[in-house]
Amino acid sequence: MKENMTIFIADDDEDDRNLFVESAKELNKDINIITASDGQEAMRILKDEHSPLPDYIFLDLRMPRINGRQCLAEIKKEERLSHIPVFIYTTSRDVNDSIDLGKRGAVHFISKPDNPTEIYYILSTVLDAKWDQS
Amino acid sequence: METTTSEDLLSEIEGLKLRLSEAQEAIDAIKTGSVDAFAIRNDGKPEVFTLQSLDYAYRVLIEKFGEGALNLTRDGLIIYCNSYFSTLLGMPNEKVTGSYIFDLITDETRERFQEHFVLALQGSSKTEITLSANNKKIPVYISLTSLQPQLATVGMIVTDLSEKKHNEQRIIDYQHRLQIQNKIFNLAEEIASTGSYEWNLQTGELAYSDNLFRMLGCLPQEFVPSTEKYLTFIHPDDKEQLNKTPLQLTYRIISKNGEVKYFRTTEKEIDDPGRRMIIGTNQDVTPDIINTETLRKKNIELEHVNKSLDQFASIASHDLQEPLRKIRVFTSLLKHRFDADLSVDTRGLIDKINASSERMSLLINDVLNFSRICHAENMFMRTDLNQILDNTLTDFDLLILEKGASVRKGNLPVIEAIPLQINQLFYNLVGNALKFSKAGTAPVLTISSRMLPSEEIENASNLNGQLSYSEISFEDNGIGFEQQFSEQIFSIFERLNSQQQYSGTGIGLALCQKIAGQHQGGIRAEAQENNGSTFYVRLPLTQSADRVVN
Repeated sequence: MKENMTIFIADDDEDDRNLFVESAKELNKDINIITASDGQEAMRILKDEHSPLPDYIFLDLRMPRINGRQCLAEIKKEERLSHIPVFIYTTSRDVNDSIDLGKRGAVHFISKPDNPTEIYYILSTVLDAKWDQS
Repeated sequence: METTTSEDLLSEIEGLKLRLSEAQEAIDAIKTGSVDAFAIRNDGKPEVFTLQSLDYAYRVLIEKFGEGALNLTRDGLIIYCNSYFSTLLGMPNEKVTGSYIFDLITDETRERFQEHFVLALQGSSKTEITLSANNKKIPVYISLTSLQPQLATVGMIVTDLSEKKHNEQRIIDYQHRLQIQNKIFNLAEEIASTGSYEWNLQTGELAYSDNLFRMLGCLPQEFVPSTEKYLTFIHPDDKEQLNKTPLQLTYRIISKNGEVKYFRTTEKEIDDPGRRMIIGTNQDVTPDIINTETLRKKNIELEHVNKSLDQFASIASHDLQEPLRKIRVFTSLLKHRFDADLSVDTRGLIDKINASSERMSLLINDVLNFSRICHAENMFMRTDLNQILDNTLTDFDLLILEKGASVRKGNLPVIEAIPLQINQLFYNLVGNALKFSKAGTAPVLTISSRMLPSEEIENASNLNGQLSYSEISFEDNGIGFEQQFSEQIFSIFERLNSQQQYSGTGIGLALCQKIAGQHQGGIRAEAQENNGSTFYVRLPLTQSADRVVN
């Protein structure tokens, strides 16, 4: 795992955000985590040239104002951001959603697990893997 | 020896002279042609002898005459008839001649003939009578003329009226039929809420059917039809439309009693030589228009409801699932973080919370799947059912191992299907077979297929007779069920076994039926209580081409 890794999570659900942060910190206490509580805030932070570029972006799908799908589209349009692997992190288990978002450039579709330990395992797998963007 | 006196001889001479003079008269009469025939009484039966004479040419004419010609004595004895007349009666000429005319007339018309015959003895008379011969009745027109003083007979000319009568009868029949047709037409117009009109383009004359008047709220033929008059009934907003010709249009009229109705007019121009006219029908389509409008509104409502349903599905998938997931996350956190502090009872309660939320989650997912199948617009593709089955069985690897189950697979066909749905279908059926196994008996599941014979396709009301079907059967040795429940089990939320004994949401088989239906197929079950069950899935090999992707 890369040192000084920065990950970005946008989720309007505070509990989920906290669980995510907890699991990530448990995995690597030095990990730098940027959080956003909705799509609008997410895009503001991501587009801000002063904020560090994340190594991975996690997007919840259903968020107020700008949803995850719209965020994904904007990220893929931004030259500065388009190379960053984007993970959809959502409650949805809809296969069609998964296929559709894959076509729009999301590298993976993660259904939010029911057990907090699963988040840890998912993150460890995700953050250790090489996610080829080609 | 007998003596002859001179007186005797003289009287005999006188007698002979008289007879000679009579004979001379007869000879003179024959010579001048004023006698045609002699009637000689022979044993009380008259016998007629005809003569050929100078007027032979007239006889030929009469003979070839296109009507019957007869010569009758005052007693009605036929002393001559031409061949036309005897042919008309269908009797040999010699038999007609020498008959009495009265015997050749029907009882019904004999009296009338008698009257006219008496009149004819004084001059002439004409009438219609009916001849009767050989069981045949012939209506005729007769013209009787006394031939006196030249001859003491009556001439009779007979015109066959059979054809005329026949034609008259046909006209009566036609009129009768026309009346019936008119009645039917009027009735049909009333039933169909239709009125018709004829517009003669040459005379400008316009005629309406009775029902058209009624449709306008008037009595039949209440006014003289005219275009101007008709325009007064048209709804002011629709008058414009009527300027377009020729027509097939729908517009509103306001009937005499103020009722607004929708009329649909259809016109046709007939351009026969010398008879240019427009015929048209006006149909009262008010109920249709109202129904269509109602239907349109209902459709919009239905669309709204469907949208709400979709939204509901979406809400169910996310918003309902979300808090549920939280319950599970936090109960498992509770269990892991405070494991040491929790009593056995508390842990038991936490397990119950977990089990319930798990079940709730299953239920939500199944309902969601069910609604997705209902709204599926998925495309069909060539699908190897063997492969789908293998995938399904892989999902159950662990359970199969656990239960010591054995699975026997036959060869399944390749069909046009929605793979995800078939996967779900097989998953549910295999899952059921394993779930409803008998305690203490290793489950045996046999999956095989056969082509469905055409007569079985015809007998199944839910299958499409145009398609070929394969029947895939899933036979198990599980707990089965009473055959009487074999249809009920496919209803949504229907369960035969308690939740405690066998978990499940009661949606699985309903979903199977939906999937089969989505594929124009069907599913049925045969089972015995405690003696296994077999589910038969019937799927067509092909789907309509526009629904298939390659």
